[in-house]
Amino acid sequence: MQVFGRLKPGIAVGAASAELSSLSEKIAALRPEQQADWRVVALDLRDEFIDPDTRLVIATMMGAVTFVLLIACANVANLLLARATSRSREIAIRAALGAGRGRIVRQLLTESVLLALVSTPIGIGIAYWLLDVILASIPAGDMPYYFKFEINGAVLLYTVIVALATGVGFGLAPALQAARGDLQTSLKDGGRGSAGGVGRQRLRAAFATAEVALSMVLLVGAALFFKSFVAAQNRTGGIKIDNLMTMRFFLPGARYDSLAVMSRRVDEIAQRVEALPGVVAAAASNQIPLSGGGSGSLVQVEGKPVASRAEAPSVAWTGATEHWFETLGVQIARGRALTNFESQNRTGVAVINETMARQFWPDVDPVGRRFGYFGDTTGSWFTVVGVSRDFRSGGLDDPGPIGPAYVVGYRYLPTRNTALLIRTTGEPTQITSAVRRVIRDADPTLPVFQVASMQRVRADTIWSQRLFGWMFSMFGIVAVVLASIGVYGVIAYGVSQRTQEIGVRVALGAQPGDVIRLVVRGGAILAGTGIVIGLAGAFAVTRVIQSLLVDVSATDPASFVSVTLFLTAVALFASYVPARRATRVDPLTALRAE
Amino acid sequence: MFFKTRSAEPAIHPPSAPPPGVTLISVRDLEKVFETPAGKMYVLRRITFDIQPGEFVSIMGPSGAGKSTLLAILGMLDHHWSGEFTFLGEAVHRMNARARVGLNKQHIGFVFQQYHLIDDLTVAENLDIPLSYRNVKKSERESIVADTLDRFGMVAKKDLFPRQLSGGQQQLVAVARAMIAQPRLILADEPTGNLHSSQAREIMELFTRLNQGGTTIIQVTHSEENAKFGRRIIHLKDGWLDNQA
Repeated sequence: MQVFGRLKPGIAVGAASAELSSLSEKIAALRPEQQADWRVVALDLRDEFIDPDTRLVIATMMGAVTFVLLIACANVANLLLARATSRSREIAIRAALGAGRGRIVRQLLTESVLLALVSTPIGIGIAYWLLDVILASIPAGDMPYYFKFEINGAVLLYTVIVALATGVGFGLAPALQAARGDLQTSLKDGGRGSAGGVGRQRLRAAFATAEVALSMVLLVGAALFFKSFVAAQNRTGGIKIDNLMTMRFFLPGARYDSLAVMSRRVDEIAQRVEALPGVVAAAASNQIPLSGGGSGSLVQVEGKPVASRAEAPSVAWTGATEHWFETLGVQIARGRALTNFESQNRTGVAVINETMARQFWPDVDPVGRRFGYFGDTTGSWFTVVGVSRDFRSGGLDDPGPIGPAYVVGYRYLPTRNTALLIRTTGEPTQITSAVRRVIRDADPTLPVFQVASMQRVRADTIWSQRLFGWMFSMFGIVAVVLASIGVYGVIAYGVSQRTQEIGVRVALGAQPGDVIRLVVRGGAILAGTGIVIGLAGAFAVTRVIQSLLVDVSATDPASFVSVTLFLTAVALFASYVPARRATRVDPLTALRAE
Repeated sequence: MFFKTRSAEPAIHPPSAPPPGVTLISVRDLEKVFETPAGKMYVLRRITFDIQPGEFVSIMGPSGAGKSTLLAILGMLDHHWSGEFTFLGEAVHRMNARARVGLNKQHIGFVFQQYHLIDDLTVAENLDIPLSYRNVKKSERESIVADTLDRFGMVAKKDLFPRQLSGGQQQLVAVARAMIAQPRLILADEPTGNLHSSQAREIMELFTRLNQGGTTIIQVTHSEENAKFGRRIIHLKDGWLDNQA
């Protein structure tokens, strides 16, 4: 049972929970037989509202964005390093004129921070545009109403802080490298960049390697989310999704206090809807499959006594009107469905699902067997009259298997908030007006809400899979583009720095193939290192998002292998382009350099 | 002496002798021209000469005379010229660039003024480069490199990087690298240009020993003294063959 309450000012949720717990223990002590295991827990509504999975999704998104940011920063840092190399002569002259190391670092840092700050408004402008693109790409009603994508003051402040931090953080390494250069060599070289060349080259390679590694993690995440979305998309939960309309109506006021009245009204509506043209079957229940509802109870099987409450198995159950299975398109595997009379009365019969049959009566035909509520001393039993195929009550993004469940007559669980399901011959939404009329005719005070086709219900259960799969894919694509630019940049810069060496090699007999191998090998080592690090990172990171994945393991080999191959191909291509250019190096360059 | 050589002998594998009577290099009316907005600019004009196997030839002339360009053409690194050029009886002027590179790999070694050793590779790895481009097996390459290091007295330096060597030592490694694939011809572009006189002399003496071992050597030099190590001098001036001594 859930109770909502507002705490007095100054009272923490933890303190309230402790007090309630103490009270519940005292109550339990008074009625040890019925309430020995009862507990009361007070939770912050925000914690209940934004569940751990949603928090995880948000954290994962932030992580992905941070990865993309780091990749972009690594690219900029590489550009700054290249620029610092080309400016080594200028820096050497400044040093010769008396500029201290700190002063040089400060000057270069100022430039990198300025770069970050100048690009911030451009980035924000692109963000506004992209936000429109994202919002336009999400179908209306495809996302819970409490989810809002917006750029507000906090976001802008955060962006500026991040820009400043990255400007300093990623400008520092190139600045320190530049300031560390050998004055004499830099002046002698005329800025050709041999001063500190090895260190800078390594730093550049390290940045590019990090880009590949981060891309690997993002791409594996994208692949897993995409696969998960496809898997969720293919799930039906065991019911026939097409031509099925769902809605809820509410039975308000004192006149529906009586369970019998409630049950009669619901049954009347279900039967009148079923009589509408274009309707194949209709049924009312306390749940809409795939979107939750129903109830759960501890049960015991006749002849198999359970020693304690803790050992009693928990089983989901639903009270439904006559054509429940027909409406859902769920087959009865053995036995039969409930009759009209059984559906409307507490007749002590139930249709169980295959999982319950398998778990409770693994070796015998369950039809005719009996089970009851745990602890029930009245001698009431449910006799199994049929076994249905399994179908899912909860969302399709629920990673767990379908659990044991049974269906009894609606009379066992009439609820004010009642679900109505209608199987139609054609487009299900077209029946909505007629159904509304039926409900209004039955009682004009009954509000109708949550009207949606089962297609929509299913889409709603996997909205996060779709949205985050899409967004992760976008991050992955951006990451790959940035990383390939990074690899290309490092290799191309390396080729430009090694023009003379390549010329010498050609003069010594290197064929174009030798030059391509030489250059691509550099890229392959860089990418290979990044991919290995990225694989390790992906193994660690993806475990965290396991609970968000549907029918896909966080260590799905196909995703890891395909991403590895893809990223390798991209990195090799990014290396091949400058390698091809390297083959066009004129060996005379080496001779002319005399 | 940069390194202690094992003996005073040339001690380099002599290249296999060409077929008797075959001229190593024969050049007829060789011309090299650049198209500029101002018109054609000739770098080499109607160059004609022969070089026999085992010769030691020095090419001399003022800056801009076309010496290095001629050397690049003879080394088959420059493909944009006209005229006739025959190498060991094969018409280079009729070959495509790929075939020329093949001829280069088979018969020619280069020595540069600025040594051009690969900075990131050790002495032994630098020596390995020409062999690796000639598809010599790794085990054979190791053996040849070890042998060359020994013959050039560089065993103790094999793991050093070029920056850890003096200029003379670097040029000695460069000569060893040019020789390691046993070329018939070594083309040296001002090989002593960056060395002081005693180092230069030692390199020239090494060239002399290699030449005595059967290797043909063509060097570009500004130095009259170094040119004297050769048996013939080709003078170039403004792209023209001035005279042959």
